[in-house]
Amino acid sequence: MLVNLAYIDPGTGSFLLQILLAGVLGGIATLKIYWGRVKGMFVRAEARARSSER
Amino acid sequence: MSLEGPRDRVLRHPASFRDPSGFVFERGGELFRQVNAAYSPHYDQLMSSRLYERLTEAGRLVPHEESPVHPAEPGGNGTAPARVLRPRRVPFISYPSEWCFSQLQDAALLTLAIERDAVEHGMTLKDASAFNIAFEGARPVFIDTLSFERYSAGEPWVAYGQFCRHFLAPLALASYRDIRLVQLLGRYLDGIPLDLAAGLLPRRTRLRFGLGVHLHLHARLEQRPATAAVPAGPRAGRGVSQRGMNGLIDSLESAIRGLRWRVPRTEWGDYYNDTNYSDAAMRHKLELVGRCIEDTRPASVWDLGANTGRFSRLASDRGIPTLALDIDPLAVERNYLDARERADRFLHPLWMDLTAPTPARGWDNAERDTLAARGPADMALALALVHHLAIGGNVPLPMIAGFMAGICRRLVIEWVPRHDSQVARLFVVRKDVFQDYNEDAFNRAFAAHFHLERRDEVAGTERALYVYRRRDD
Repeated sequence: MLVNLAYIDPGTGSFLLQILLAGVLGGIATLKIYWGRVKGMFVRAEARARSSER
Repeated sequence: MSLEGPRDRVLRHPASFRDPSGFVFERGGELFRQVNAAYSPHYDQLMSSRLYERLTEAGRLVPHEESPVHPAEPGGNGTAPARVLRPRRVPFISYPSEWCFSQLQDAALLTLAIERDAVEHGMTLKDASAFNIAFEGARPVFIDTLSFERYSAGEPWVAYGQFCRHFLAPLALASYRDIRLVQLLGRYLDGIPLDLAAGLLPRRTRLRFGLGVHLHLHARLEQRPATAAVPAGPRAGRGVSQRGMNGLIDSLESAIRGLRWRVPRTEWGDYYNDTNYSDAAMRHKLELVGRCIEDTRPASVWDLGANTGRFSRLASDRGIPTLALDIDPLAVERNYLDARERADRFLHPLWMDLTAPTPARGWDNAERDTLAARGPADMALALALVHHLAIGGNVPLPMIAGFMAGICRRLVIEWVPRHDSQVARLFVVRKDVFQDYNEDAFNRAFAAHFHLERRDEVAGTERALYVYRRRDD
């Protein structure tokens, strides 16, 4: 059996804050990834357009 | 099989008792770390997930070998001891209250880098104490091999609060108030309480995202009554996603990186450009000290009142682990930044007031050692120091000699006479009540503890360099 040996008191306030923050910061990270994909589509489209111009 | 003898006597490290995973002990002068059986699955994952390999190759974690020696005692909570590790020994364990700004900042960034690596390998740090970091020269290294724990998806970072107390709070206080507030880490061994830090910081720091959230809001939430609803989050499935965890680490990192120490002019920061030493005299002094180090090849050197470490480097450049202690945080900061730039593995700058050196602290006053208890140094340098202690600090010469005998085996000390312009400077506004400050009294005081090995006059000055060997060595 895996025994968890975390022996320090993490504090309930710290736990609560992390759950809040992780939601916000994780959400921002997700948005960044999707934004990157959307941007990527345009960049690719532009690159295709440029290569077809040549 | 038992080989009990005086060399086999086990000395358990007095600071190694909180974590049930194992503990550090010494046997026959060698350092070991016992791993208790309950920690085995975590240790196995550290090794098999290649996290250990990655961290040690990057120089982030102190390497160890598994040792065949028998454990020191049964494991905690009735568990069996699993194995014994022999870590590479760090020459001197310094404490966070003895670090300058950039040392503390680098230690913080190292802790976050390790946590990020750990999460990537399915593990997490179960503590984030600044005491888990030591310096090998100018490089921070994580020394607590048993801090890693298997990470279950959804769990918040257990050590988040501790990280904020140990690193974010003192760095923010240094950055926005005063570098001297870092010394609160000497009193608060588990980090500066967040409500204390929040109260001391200027109000405008609430508007900075990192400090506003990780420090001010954090402090508010910590003060909720303990009976308030405990977030059942992680176990109820609305915990911290891996992406959220990475976001948290990134956010802490940018908060730490965003802090700067705005340097004021301190008393000795400009010292080398403001002495009564001519270039020739400085060269002669460097040559005398260098020759002494060359002749005696000490195993360790403490340079007391090192300023930015010009003389310390006579030792560290020869591969001798060297502490460069100074009372001026700016001198320590400059010395560290320079040593870091050169990736110096032997020079460790340290912030220390020799008239009130680090005391013993913690449980039973045994967890953290005094400066002297972490010695003695094979050799100490006390150059252009004695007048500061005797006149600036009002410490009688016999007491200075006694202190020196407690921290080193060999002493290179510079006598600075009363009519020296640097001494005269100390008398600008105060009365000269130091009739006993003369070279005869100096000789008598040090002869009580040391054998005189040699005395050289520093060319072109009234100063003299004494080399002493401790009487009982």
